[in-house]
Amino acid sequence: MRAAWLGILLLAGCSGIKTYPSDPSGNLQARATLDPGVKAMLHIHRVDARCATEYAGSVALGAEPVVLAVPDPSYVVVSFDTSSFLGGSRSTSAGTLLRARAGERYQLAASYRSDLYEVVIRTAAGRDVPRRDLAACRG
Amino acid sequence: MIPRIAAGKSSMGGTMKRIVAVLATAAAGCSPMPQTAEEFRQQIPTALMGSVQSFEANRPLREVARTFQARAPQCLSAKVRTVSQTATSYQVIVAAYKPTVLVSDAKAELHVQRKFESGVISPRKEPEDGHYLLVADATPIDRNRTRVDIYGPTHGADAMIKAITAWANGTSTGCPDMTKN
Repeated sequence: MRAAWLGILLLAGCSGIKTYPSDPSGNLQARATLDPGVKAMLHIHRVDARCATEYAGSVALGAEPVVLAVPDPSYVVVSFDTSSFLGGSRSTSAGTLLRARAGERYQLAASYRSDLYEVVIRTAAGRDVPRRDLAACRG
Repeated sequence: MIPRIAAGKSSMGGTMKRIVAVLATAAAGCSPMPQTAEEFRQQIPTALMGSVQSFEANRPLREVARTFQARAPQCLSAKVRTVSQTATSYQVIVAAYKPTVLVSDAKAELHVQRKFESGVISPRKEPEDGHYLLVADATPIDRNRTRVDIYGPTHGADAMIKAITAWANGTSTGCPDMTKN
């Protein structure tokens, strides 16, 4: 039993996934609507002046909203993981460069229904934030 | 809005894809592979694993066309990496999907091509952006209705066909999970 726990701890430590801290006063609220069996994760990457990314952490998404403080700019990625006995495990992701304006709050809504997924980011005023490739960082 | 597949992968889910790839290869031995969307339209109705699905959308052609133009580049331009692993084998297939949307006053066309970048050898001449996987044609019935014909395989494009149908009907703008094709 001890060996099993040790194995789990070692795997957790080696997976490279770290939890991005929640912050009730943060600028990004995120939630997901998912089919049963689908898992969604939000991954935050810092973007430096040279447009290089550095992984900052991840949080699981679900019906309950999570609130995070994300830096400007950030590269945010939502991944959807599905698995089935015959289909194996599958992962699909969607990412965008987010230029979070000071004082602005954003809402991220992710959904995965019947093999169709959608990720939308809106300002508090309801304006859609268009998707930007990381290459847009240089623009 | 950010829906677009940046990357996808599946593990141990490639059995059906390999079967389809083998059948496609066998079929390729019997007839020349389509080099254009028009050749694809002509071959699919009589192909062993081809189908044509038609329906009417209660939206004007220009709205259907606008949705194709907005969603196809974001949703269908994707790379899918499939990893199949057993005790004795390890296989990686990388497929690159490329959508093309052509719009005129009389028609909106959505073409999807797939090019295997690794793991699959194409035995026949392949168009530059890959073999045609699917072609969807939208034509006006009247001012408010549009006919949509989707030419594609009977298996292997289910999620894409579901998405294109939803885009045409205006019921969803979601992207297909390309690992489910």
